[in-house]
Amino acid sequence: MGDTRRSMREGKRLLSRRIRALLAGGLVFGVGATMTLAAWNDSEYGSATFTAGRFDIVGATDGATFSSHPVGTPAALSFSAPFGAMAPGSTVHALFSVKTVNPSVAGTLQLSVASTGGTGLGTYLRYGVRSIAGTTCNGTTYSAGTAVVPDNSTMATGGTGTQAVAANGGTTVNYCIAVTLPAGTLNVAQGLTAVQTWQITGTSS
Amino acid sequence: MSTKDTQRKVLAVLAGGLVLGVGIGVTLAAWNDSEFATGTFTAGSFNLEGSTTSATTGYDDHNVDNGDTAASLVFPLPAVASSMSPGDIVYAPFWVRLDATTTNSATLVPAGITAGAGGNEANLSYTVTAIAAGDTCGAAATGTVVASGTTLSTQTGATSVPLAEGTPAGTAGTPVQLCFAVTAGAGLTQGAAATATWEFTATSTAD
Repeated sequence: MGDTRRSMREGKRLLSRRIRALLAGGLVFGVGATMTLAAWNDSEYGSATFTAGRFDIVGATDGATFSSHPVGTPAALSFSAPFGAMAPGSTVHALFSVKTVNPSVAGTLQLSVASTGGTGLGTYLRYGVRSIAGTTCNGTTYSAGTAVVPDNSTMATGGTGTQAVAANGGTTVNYCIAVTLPAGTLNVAQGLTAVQTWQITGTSS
Repeated sequence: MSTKDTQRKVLAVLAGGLVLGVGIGVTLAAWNDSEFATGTFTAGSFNLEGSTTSATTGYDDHNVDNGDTAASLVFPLPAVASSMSPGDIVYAPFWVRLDATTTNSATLVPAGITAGAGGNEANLSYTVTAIAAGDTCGAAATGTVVASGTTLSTQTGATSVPLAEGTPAGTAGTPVQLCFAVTAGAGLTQGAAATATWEFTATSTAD
């Protein structure tokens, strides 16, 4: 019995000790929390407004008067004579300048062929495109340019590589297009026409 | 434990890879804008025509290769031309020009002669001279000798002459008169005839 009473007493003592320990711990935690909450507070706020940029390119056939030319209303290139009466050996040149508008982000340009129409002269024609420094496109400036489409390519050939344009119209890419009716073109090509549409695809960077 | 670590590293790398993939996808989704430009090209036309009667009228196509008939040269002295004797010389003009539809100038080149089967072709020599359109084709005519031959089946010294397209566009070009002088040789066979067809080719020149 004595054993039992002592063990019961000791058990009660242990329980009460644990309860007190828990309570003491809780008090300590509570005090800690209270102290933290009692600190001074101050905040700084920063705000920023985000706006999506724009990307828009425009083209000009004279190197000066830029506007947009969607697929329905392409720019009519001003080819040199005799684009209206080409004979074997004739080569004609035309300029097409492309830049970004202001405002616009920078990008790269790629030249491709959108369509070749007409009554069949396109089969006989050959062409090349070079990017030139100025806005004067002729045999001399063409020779000094950087190849975009290799010389004597068929009319279905697109450009290789891309050309960079700066943001906000900072730089202009001047494409000098040279179209040739090769010497040795057959008599059957007489009187035929070709309508060639090129596409300059701009991609923002 | 080490196996778990390795797994964790692999997973981490994979997660990183996924993030990179997303980044590349975003780059590709850049904005696009296009410009379109059109050029229209037309091939020119080219046609040579000839006249045996005058510099201004009587022109027609005589391209045997296209099924036309060769022009018959008209000799102003038919009595002589039809009964030649050794030493006789007969003259005949032939005007050529680029027609009104032609869009390019050209060069005219004698392209050979084909003898007929009359019997006297070997006994006749000839000279073709390019003279001014208004000149008379005769003994006094002077100009550029474009071809000659010791018989009616040979041609030597073929020389080109320029042909101008018409100005303004839509009009025929300036004619060139070709003056044919045919001389009867000493061995001319009595009573035998001779025929020959001369060919002239105009080749366009690029503007």
